Amino acid sequence: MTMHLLEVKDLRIYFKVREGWVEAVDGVSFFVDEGETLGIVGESGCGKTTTAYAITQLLPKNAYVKGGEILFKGRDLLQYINRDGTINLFHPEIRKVRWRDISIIFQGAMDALNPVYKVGRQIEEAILAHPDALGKMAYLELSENQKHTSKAMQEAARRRVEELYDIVGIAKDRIDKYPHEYSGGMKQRALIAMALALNPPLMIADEPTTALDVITQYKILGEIKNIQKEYRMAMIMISHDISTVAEISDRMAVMYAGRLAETGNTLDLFMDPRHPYTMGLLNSIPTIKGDKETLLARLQSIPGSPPPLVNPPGGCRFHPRCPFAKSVCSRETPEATVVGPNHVVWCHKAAAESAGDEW
Amino acid sequence: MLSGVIRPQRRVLEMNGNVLDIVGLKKYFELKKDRLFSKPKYVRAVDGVTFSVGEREVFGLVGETGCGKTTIGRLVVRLERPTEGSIFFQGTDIAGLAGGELKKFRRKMQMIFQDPYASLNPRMTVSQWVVEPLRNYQMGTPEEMADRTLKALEDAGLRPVEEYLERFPHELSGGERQRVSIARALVVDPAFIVADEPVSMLDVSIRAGVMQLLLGLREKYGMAFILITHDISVARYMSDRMAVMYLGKIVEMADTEGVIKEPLHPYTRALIKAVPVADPTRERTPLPLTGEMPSALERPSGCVFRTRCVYATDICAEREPSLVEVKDGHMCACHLVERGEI
Repeated sequence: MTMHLLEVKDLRIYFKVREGWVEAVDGVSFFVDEGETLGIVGESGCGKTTTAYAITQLLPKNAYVKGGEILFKGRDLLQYINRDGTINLFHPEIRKVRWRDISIIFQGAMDALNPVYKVGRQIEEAILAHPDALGKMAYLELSENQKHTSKAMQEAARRRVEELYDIVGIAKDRIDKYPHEYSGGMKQRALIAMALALNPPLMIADEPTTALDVITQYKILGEIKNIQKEYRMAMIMISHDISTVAEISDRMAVMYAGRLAETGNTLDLFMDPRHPYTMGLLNSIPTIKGDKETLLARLQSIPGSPPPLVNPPGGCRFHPRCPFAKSVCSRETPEATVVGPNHVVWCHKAAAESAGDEW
Repeated sequence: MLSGVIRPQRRVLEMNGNVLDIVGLKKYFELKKDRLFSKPKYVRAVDGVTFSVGEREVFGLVGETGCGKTTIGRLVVRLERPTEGSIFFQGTDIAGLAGGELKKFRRKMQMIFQDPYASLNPRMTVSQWVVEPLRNYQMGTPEEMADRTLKALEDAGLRPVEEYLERFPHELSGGERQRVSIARALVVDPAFIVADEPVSMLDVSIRAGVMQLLLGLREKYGMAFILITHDISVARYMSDRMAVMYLGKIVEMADTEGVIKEPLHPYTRALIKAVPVADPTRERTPLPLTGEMPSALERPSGCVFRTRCVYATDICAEREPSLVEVKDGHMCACHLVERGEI
């Protein structure tokens, strides 16, 4: 078997709260190959952001890793956590990986930049934290001696920032401006520039365009896509909006209440969804495509609302809202069923049907 | 009446069957002066907007952040006082009214806010929150008020009602909270409701339910709606007619399907094209517009959109286009569309 760029196996992350444990991520497995885009879709509180942040190990103190593996180029990143299962934010090995190998475009561009520093400086800071990566980027043309002088490093970082501004399409005279002097779209572009700074093989985009207007969103998604293609980066795109993920991802993972519901090639998931939640999600979004009668007939919300993750429902977590649920669904957690190439479903009904049984 | 208070002249429009007629509505916000005696600067949040909302109609106001759509909503229910223009509510101009005069009309117009987590009082139970407007307007005996409250909650889809009455907001999900807000708007039997992004903060899987609820209420009670949203897909599902706004102006207005299927204004064309459509096979092509929306302080001369328009010519900088009927019922504010050039 070939090695994936990133492989997450049976990841479980619980948060300790006063009421007990929040089972935010409970047995999630997926992989990302070089240069491809995986979209993780789900509603608020389904664990998609926790999953992504676990990869770079940026989780709060009350997060406990209860099991699983995060293999990046074959190396398990979870070997660096503390013995009690909490995350060690500052482990030297993780600090090397973070940003150089895996970077993040944070959710909410409006708040992700520090208001009291110039934007350019914030990006330089990220670059300077990884002198080895800076040295590796040949076009910076640092000689062996220069690598040790901080002034040369500063200048090289500066040149890299200028280059990045070119790539993401912000005028260079903006580098020495403060975040409040940027528009929303520009801040988002600056964050993309920051994520690109060290040319990482994997980029995690957490709702990169959610706070933006549709026109800006369309442009920025297009730019992310182009940059990703040009530099052959892999990307994990996290979003609650199945429409945006549809347009940008090669494969998709649908999450519900801390677990995976369905994963597969984006096209398959749209053409042939097998999990009732995926179907429900696709039927609950209005669209401007097609004629209005079809839309009026199709649009339907999923009854109920997502469950709390402290004491989540037993068995399949979707069963209280599922129109097809039977007694087995409340008793047993569904196993993964492979229904096609790359297409995996966690659902008793889908399992029965794929085995040729009546449901 | 206190001396010195100028009582606005009561203006009445002939009955035309519309619930609302907005004429030349403007709202300028004065900015903080940087120097004491410098000339005041204004942000033109709403700059000369005219439209009508008929009986039982859902009128969508669509546009990007800062286009003035929410300000219009707040003006219409008179949370703000307009700088200029008229708001005829069932024929009476309420633009200049205040105090008791205004309160008579207030009951008839209600608003549903965007954020169900911020718009409920965390220290009031559901029943207290919904009965409050009835007390405020002294609508009936306590028994009648209780009955109305129960009915409103049930109509808002909170069933069984008994289970919800004594709950506090933190015991409700986002969708349930928004339904409580809807019940509170509903309980005083309004003639129209301004719904400001009613579903944008809700989880995707429950949005459709709230949209269907609002449309069902229209059927049942026959009230009109102004739907304010940035999401054209939502406007398409809910509204009968819609207006697209850009920098405080309406640039296009027509029946909803007309705007979506045949957008005329260059801005609307770009906007419609940018809407994600949940189609993995869609080709991404560049949008027919340039740059970013200018700040409301640096309004371009002439047509407000010309700085981003790919078709802009000299006339666009010289003269401001007015909103004119281009085809039956389809209004557009663009020199070039008007002349049939694009």
